[in-house]
Amino acid sequence: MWQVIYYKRPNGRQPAKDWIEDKDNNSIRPNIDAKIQALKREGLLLRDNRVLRPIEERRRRQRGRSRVIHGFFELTGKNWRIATYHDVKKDMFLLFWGWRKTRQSEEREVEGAIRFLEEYKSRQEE
Amino acid sequence: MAVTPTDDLLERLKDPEYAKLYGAENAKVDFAITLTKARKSLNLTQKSLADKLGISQPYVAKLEGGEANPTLGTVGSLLATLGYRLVTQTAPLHPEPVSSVVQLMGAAHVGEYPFCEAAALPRGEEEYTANFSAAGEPSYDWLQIRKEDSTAKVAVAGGAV
Repeated sequence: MWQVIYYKRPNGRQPAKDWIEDKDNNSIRPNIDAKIQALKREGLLLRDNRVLRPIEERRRRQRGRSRVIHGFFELTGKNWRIATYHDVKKDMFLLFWGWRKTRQSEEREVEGAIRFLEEYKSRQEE
Repeated sequence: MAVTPTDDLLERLKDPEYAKLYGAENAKVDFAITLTKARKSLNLTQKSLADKLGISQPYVAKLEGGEANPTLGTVGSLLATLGYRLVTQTAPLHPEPVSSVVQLMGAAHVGEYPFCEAAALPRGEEEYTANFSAAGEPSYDWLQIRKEDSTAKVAVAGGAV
């Protein structure tokens, strides 16, 4: 079993939890829950299914950039994504942020998730 | 104590309607994982699996992504093409340390595969069970131990020792 938790910001907010519980996501929540439980059971093996994908791959394809953030993935559903980070030291996955997949929104959402990741990493260093 | 996604799910599962919806999604994801493991055990790509099954690669991707909703008959056909049959078991819906188990009963040989309790038996020698446990794969170290165990089991089952 892998540990999967929500990332908690310094102000106490848990962006991924808030997003999952948003009423607009009622219809996709069972799918999200099933994928999170699969992540808990299978962990990094979900990469074989492409249910867990490195985010940097898509960024490279879309913008010609090659920014590799080790351990930074998106958990995927048909029309949603959740940015997650595998903390190797703590051996757990943190859920940072989720979004509905659209071509327009994606880059902005990923940037937001990266900010949460940087916030998390800076707090680990303190 | 922090609330985890599993805590939230347990709360939501108190609603029978939600439990039904979750059960449907969970079944699709469980099958997706099983199919991917079966494909990889045979060293097939999604494309070669699609060709073997007579379906498109995008549909294989959809099945492995847990986004397709094949009928039980289709599941049986897909697995039969790979030399497997489906064995279903019921398990508690609630996420617990051992929440569900999906088994594939081998009708054909497969290569050595670290997620199987037993593998690599020659065709027809003895039926074996490949347990794709839905729980209990916490680390690669653990998998290695399981792999060694299964090698020993195969040797005994096949009469090689």
